[in-house]
Amino acid sequence: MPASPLEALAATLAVEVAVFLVLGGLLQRESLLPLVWCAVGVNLVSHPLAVAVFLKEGVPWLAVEGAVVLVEVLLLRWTLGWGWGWALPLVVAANLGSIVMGPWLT
Amino acid sequence: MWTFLVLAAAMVAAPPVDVLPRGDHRVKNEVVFVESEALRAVRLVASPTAGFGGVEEVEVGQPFPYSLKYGTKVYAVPRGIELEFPSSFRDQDWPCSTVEIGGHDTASDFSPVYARLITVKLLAVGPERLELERVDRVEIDQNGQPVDPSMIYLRTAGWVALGLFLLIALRRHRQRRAAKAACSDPRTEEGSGIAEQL
Repeated sequence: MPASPLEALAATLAVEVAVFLVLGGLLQRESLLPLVWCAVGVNLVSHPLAVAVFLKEGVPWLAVEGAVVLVEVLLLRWTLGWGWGWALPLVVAANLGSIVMGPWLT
Repeated sequence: MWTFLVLAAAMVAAPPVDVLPRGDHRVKNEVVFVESEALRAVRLVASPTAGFGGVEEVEVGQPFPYSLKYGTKVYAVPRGIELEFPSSFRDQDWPCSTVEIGGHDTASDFSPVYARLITVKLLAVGPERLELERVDRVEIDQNGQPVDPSMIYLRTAGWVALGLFLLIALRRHRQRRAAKAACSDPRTEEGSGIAEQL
């Protein structure tokens, strides 16, 4: 049974919030609340947009994921003021996590 | 070992249309013809150009399955001709055309579209091709209800707005906290500046 967009969003949030907490806490010593807040906000922007793009048939999956990473890095930098060196690996790790774990959770 | 190699070769040789990509579901396409002047002179037959079977005469107002995977074409046969139904019309010389579906046989699992109904009008029959006009195109969900694309975009806009609101609120909160911290610590350059301003 395919996951609905809402279930997919919930699965993405579950994984990415966890990655943000672990890596963000370790790398930047950011406290818990801003990390959860930021992870939820960033994914509420990127995930529905990615789903809307996926609905356009023929859009390559990798291009959408690449755009998602770029948008999330920019939002993370804007919100928390992190540099590229921290924001990019965190976002890539979070998205890899949701790609790998998403099908298991939905 | 040989079984594995044969299976691998078969997978490589299989046309890509046979593969249902991960995260996608099948979409059933149906076409229905409406009455027209040009249709009175011909009988229409829908036939796949690949695979076997699936040839059927088109009745006005009766939807028939249209396969992009098997390359369905619509053939026009003059009325009065005795028609035999071979397994495929692909070798026949009757004028024929494909129907513009505006989609694929599959859609992303995120898509609510599970079927499409394309309404077509036959305008004219040329020596080789049919002149068709797409009158209507309805996308249908799992429950057989028409899909409203504006709802999808509205829902997307709502989630994005909520996400942006959270991020803006977080950024403002952090800026305020940083300003307050700087303000309460006159040893910092920024703090002394703000303290002076206050």
